[in-house]
Amino acid sequence: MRRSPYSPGANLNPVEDFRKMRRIIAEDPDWSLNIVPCLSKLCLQSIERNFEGKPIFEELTPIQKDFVQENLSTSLPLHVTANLISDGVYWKRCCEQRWDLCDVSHYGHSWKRMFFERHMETIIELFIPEVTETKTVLVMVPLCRNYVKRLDISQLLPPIKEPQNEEEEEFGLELASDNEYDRPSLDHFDFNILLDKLTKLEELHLVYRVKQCGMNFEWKMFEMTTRDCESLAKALKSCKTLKLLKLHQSHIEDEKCRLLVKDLLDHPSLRELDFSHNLIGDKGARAIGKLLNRSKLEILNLCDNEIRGLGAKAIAHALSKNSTLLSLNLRLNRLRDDGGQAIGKALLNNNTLLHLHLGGNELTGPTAVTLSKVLVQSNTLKSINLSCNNLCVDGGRALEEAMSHNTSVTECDIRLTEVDKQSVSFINQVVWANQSLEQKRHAQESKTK
Amino acid sequence: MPKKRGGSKGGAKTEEEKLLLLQQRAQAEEEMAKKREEILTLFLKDKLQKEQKNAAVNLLKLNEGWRSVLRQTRAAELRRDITVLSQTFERQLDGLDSVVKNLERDLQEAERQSAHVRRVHLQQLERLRAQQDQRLAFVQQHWEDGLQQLGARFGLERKQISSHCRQQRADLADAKFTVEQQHKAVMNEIHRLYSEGIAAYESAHEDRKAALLLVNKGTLREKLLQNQEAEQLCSAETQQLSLLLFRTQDLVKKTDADMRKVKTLQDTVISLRETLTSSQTENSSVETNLSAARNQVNTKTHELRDQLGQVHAAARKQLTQLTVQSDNAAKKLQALIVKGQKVLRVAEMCHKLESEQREVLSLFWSEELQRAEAETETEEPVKDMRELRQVTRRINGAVLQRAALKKQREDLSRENQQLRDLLRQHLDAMTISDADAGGHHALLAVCQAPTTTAPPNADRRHTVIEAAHAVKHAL
Repeated sequence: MRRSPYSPGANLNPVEDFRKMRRIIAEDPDWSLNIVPCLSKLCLQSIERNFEGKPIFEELTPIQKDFVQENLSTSLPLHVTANLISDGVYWKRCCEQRWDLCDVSHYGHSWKRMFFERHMETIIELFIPEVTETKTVLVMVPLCRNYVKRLDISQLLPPIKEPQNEEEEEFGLELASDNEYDRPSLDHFDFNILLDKLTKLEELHLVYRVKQCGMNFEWKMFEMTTRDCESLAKALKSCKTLKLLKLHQSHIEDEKCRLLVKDLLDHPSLRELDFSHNLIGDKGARAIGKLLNRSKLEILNLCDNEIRGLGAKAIAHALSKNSTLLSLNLRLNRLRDDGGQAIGKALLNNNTLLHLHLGGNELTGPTAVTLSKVLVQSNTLKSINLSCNNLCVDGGRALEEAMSHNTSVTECDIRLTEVDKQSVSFINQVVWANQSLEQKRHAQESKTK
Repeated sequence: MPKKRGGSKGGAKTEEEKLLLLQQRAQAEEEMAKKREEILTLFLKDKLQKEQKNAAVNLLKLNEGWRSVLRQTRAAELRRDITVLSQTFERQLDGLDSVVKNLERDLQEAERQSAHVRRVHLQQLERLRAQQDQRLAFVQQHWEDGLQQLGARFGLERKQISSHCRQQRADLADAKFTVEQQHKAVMNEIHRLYSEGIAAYESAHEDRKAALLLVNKGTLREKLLQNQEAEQLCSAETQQLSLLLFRTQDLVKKTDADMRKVKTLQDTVISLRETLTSSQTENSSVETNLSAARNQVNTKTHELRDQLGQVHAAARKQLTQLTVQSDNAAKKLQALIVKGQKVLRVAEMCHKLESEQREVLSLFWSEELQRAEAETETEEPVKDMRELRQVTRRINGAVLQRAALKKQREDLSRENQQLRDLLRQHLDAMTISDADAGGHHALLAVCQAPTTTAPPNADRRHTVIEAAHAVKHAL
């Protein structure tokens, strides 16, 4: 330390004095001149440095655990950290370092869950069948089994096309398919190896498509094959905790739908099924109708498929006997009037359906008449959506008349239906009145509770 | 005619009968011929008709035959054409079929792509909407929470304020009661005092009234007198007023006349002003014309000046050129003059030299002169040549002399230089320089041995004289 040129008795600004005394100003916010780090901190730092070799975490106190989590290297192998370090800052740091956008509320405010789910999703999304080893997937399973509740997989890669044929027997694959020597033995990632081991999985979102395929575009990349279907069906059957299955935009036709549904019948936990944006026709709809009554489905979404009158009749037949379905979405199909009327008639016998969406189905006046009968009678139906159908003035009037007797509908969407403005305004008024009634009922219930 | 024949039989029977017979025969023959002719004509007509019929039939046959042949050939050609055309049409049809198939395939592809894109778009929109709804719900929740908080706060405040108000009201009621009590007492006091006061006042009032009545009568009398005086004054003043009115009327008339005069004056002023403005405009126009003319003149003068200047410049340039040239010429002339002078001087010098050398070379030249004189008489036009030859001979002799002299001089200078060098070295060896004297070992200073080095002229080759020889010469 250089001696200051001033006399020791002078009244100096301490900052200036310090600056004259020490020219290095520390960047580390934890650094401070005066405090020598205490031994416990040094020990914790050495624990952090050597965590891989000797993971000591359980024995620490909570404050020490927090300290270690903040400084621990995020590139430690997962098999060391996964089951050891609980949810907290460490996983937050891992997530933020690896991915740019981290919205933790989407994952139940658990950083550990977000990390493992996204990690698993990336593994599956980048899995190239016959190139990537299934070991990479299986190795991860025991580590993330307790944390993965939802898998939202947005692409599934097909195998790389090779001119030679290579029949390799992957672990766990016994597909009953024709042994053509041209095709590889796997089409997409086989979920059989995975789903039964993930014991907490509740939601599975799948799309069979390839993102960023660029110039290598082929329609096959956006389709699910029959073998995929079979293997997936088996996998789904084996997963006993699955509550939500969303398999959209994967070119599912009737046969594939039936294959899937066959193995979903009597599934113990499936509550929500989403087959939107596929090509399901009447036969598939019939299979789904069967499924409606043999499982505990509460929410069914079949929007943007090819279901016609017959399929709708099958679903309606199932509806009339069903007592678990709460929400039915048949938007953007081709129901036409016979389908719409069938569903209307079925609803007369149904007391549990709360939400019905029939928008964009080429429905016209007679369907509106049938549905108005339902509206008069029903006191459970909460929301009904008939937008983008050509109901015309007569349909509008029938609905208006029915709504005047109804007290439970709190959402009635009849936009773009060519209905008279007067009817629309009347229906809106009734809906608002119902909404306020609903609120009052809620308030009363909460008071009595 | 038989009668006639019978009748003529009696007469010149033989000639007339012969004539008749001849005539009859001729007639008969003529008739026969006619008949034959008729038969012939009929026959010929028939034949003609037949021939015509035949010809028609033959023509028809010919036409038919011709047509059938034509048909056959034509049919063959047409069949060939048909095959060719059918082949081309089939090919075209195949092409169109393939085009249609391609278009179908393209259409299917396009439809599939559009359906795919639409689905993806729908999904994205739904996701965005879900996010938007989430966000809206969150914001609404936030708002409602805020609203609730505000409501709760305001409710609390309201309660506080209402309780406060109630307290205040109770206090006010108590205060009001006491104040009313006080007010009643005070009012009673006031009433009593008031009644007492009024009674006293009334009594006093009556007394005063009597006194005032007396006083008022007196004042009335005085005021009557004053009024009369005032009336007189008033009448006097009204007379004065009427006089003044007359005067004012006169004055008003005068002012009217003055006003009229003023108006006429103003009119004249206006007219004068108008004339002024018109004259001003004329002036301004004249001015503008003048200024325009002036500008023109100015521009012309400028132009002329420019021209003048240009001409001046050109003249100057020429002058300078001339001067330069004349300078050059003068310089050349002077140079020539100098040259001539030099030549003259050289000639003088040559003459001098010649006169000096004449003694040495007089013999040679006398011979030449003799030869020259001998030749002069015969060859006159070659005079110049002779003189030239003499001159050239002289020049050559001079040049040769000069060369010899130069060589001598060089040798002499060389010797001089050598001698000088030797002398210097000798002197150096003898003397000690100042620089060496200052050093430590001045006494031991050793100079270079005296040598004659060759002068550093690369052109000349000099013999190197060794030290021994030089020393010999030096000592």
